[in-house]
Amino acid sequence: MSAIDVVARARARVDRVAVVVRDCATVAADPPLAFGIAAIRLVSEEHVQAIAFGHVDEQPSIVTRWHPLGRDSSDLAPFAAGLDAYLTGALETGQVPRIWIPTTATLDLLEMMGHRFHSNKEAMPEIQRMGKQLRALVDEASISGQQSVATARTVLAESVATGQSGAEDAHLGALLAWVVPEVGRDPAEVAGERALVPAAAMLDRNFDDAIEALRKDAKGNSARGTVARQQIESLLEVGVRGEWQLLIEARSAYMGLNLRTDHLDSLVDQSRERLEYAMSIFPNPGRTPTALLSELDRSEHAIALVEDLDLADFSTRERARRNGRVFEAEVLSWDQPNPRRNGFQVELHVPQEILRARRGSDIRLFGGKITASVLEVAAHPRGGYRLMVEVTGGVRARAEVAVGTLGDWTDSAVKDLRFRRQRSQKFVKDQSPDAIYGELPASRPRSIKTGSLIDVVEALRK
Amino acid sequence: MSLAGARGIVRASRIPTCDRQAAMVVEHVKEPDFYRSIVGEDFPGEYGERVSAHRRGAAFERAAFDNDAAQLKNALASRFGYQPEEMWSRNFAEEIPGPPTTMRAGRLHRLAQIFRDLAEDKPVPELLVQPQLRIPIRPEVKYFEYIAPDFMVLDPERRMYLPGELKSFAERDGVASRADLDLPRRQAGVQVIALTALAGRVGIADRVEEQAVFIYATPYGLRLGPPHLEDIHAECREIHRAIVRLGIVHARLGQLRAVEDTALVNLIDEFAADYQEACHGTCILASPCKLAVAGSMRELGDEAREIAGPDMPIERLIDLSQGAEPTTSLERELAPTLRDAASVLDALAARRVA
Repeated sequence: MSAIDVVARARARVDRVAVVVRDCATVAADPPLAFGIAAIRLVSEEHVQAIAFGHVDEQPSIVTRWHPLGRDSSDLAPFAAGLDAYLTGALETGQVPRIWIPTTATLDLLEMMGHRFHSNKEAMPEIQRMGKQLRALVDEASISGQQSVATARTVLAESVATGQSGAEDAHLGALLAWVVPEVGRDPAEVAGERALVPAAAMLDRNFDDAIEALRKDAKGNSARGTVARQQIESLLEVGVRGEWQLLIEARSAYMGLNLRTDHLDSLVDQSRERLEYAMSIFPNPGRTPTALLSELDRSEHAIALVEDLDLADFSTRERARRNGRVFEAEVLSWDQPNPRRNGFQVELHVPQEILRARRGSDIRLFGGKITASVLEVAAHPRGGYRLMVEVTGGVRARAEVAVGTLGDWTDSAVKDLRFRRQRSQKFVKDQSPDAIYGELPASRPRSIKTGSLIDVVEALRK
Repeated sequence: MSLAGARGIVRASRIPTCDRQAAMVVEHVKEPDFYRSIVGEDFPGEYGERVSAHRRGAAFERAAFDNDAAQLKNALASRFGYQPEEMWSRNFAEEIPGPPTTMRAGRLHRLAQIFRDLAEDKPVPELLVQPQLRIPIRPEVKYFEYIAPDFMVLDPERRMYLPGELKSFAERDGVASRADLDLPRRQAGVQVIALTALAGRVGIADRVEEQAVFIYATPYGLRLGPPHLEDIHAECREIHRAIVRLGIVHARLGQLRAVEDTALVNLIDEFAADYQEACHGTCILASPCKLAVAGSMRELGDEAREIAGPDMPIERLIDLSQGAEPTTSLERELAPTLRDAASVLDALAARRVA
């Protein structure tokens, strides 16, 4: 948290309404059809008891399971069919699927469903397919900047500051109390009331206890059993409809922030490509060292890309300016009057005190095509720094750095080195050295002499 | 449900700077009753373990301990180099059944005998189910807390037991959710310290490692997953800190009651509360404590109070951000940053309007 967030939270508290702290969105605009999933789990474990699903602009379909621990999973068939139809339809029309969920608790539940059913031979083929699709979706959701799964609480919390603590923001209902305040009431009070009932894909406690009391009867084949099952299902339906309503309100509140999304197009394309691939072959999660390395590369590249794209957001850029990642610079001079393709040197004056760029840093002109490498950083007589940089890219757009121009630069220059790394990983895989692929050597107990610290270090070296 | 035993110490370790909570732990208060005494009405939210969660946890433990702990032995044997069918186990819950007040001392006595055998290198059971330990908070005035690990397994290399926790939440691919891990790790920290105290009585405390065994459920029903042996140095350190704090608060309570024995609720203002984010979801008094600090930076969260100081009034922070003259050294230090932050927010608002 920075001082910007502190002042924003203070303003929200005094004004009794959340303060929007971004002008750019973290998820792109919804495609024409967006899908929602709200679910209720069995407390203390990730077994689904009820799911509400469907297009977010329509009434949801509901699946309830009176015996969630049973082996029969055929009751999930309507959900499997609905999910498959949506995912297949979206990808066939070349769109990224957009699945809205209320909180990360729902994501955990979907992950466990995927884990349980993707290769469960006892389950119907469509349920197994659902398991594979859920695994692919959850895997996609773990990638920074992905555009397929939108978690309502997360996207709202990163876009607004409320007048309460971050821990209290973890409750979606309490968070919404600040974003869409009730007229005439203090949102702090409303949030406190709402937080008394959990909003984490679980039932209200009274419902939960009532269902537990009915479970024994529900297992009977008598008329009493039928009634108990109906009662359980009706309680579950009420619970899951509440969760769905929360999701719809949160999505609507997020859409109401009217944040810009034009900087996210490349992330949308990447997300769609990844999902198309995953949904076509349903790859198993990597287990080998090279597969895990490749996954790590993918993750690191995604984080770097998102950090870079996020600089389009005004407040993110201003925060970055305050820690030296973005800096305003004036072009003082060029080393050639008519530079050619091979690059040229430019002298910059950076008036700000905090600067992260060092000799050898790659920098780029924000919103332009020029990229450069820092040759020298020195103090400037007018204060701040004097930077000599070698323009290494975008030479034809040299007007962007005409002498006297002022512009924002950043040291965030994303380089995709995954292809190069894959070659080295393939080499390692082909060689399969024991150090990476073999069994770990047995541990050898060492006895360390007592005495001076130097003796101990010497003993450890042996 | 009272704040006794491991539950209380774990709670004190989560918010070690709150003397009010420490006093509640020392006093073993029943939280809903205490809340009613302080606030004057019943706690309006959910409290305690749900029936469904309790049933699941109990069923998971039953599955582990049934048939001479066959499932548990199977889970542990290969990790510690035993043959499951040859493992010698003792189930203290079966040997000395009964309510906590009567069975603790008996179980502890039997465990102490096992530790004497261990110190003398005599044969001891490889598995102890539901043993009883005791953690000395202020042994000089007989202030102890009783601790009951789910099980303890003998590490054959060190000839010392490792405490073990069974948790019924499911792990995926051998990994449990981080949020689920905090509580069992702290519980294990309490157990390690209690174990060290018992081992110390027979001169083998140096064999105790700050390690514990955790077993979670597989995603498929009540089956036990593989055991995870984990270092818990950080948790042990936090528990040590909490124990020191509890000792201080216990002594303070003794002083306050030296003249007349008074209920804690009447002394509560003697113990300062330290409202922070961790109170939510941890302490039943979170809401009243938040109300007591309303209008200060504490209300806005831990990082806000760290940046601007816990007692800075929110209104004053707004004034400073709008250019009010700073009057203290803290304000002088903060004012330029706050004005700068306000300018960013104003510019952002203007951009959004445009």
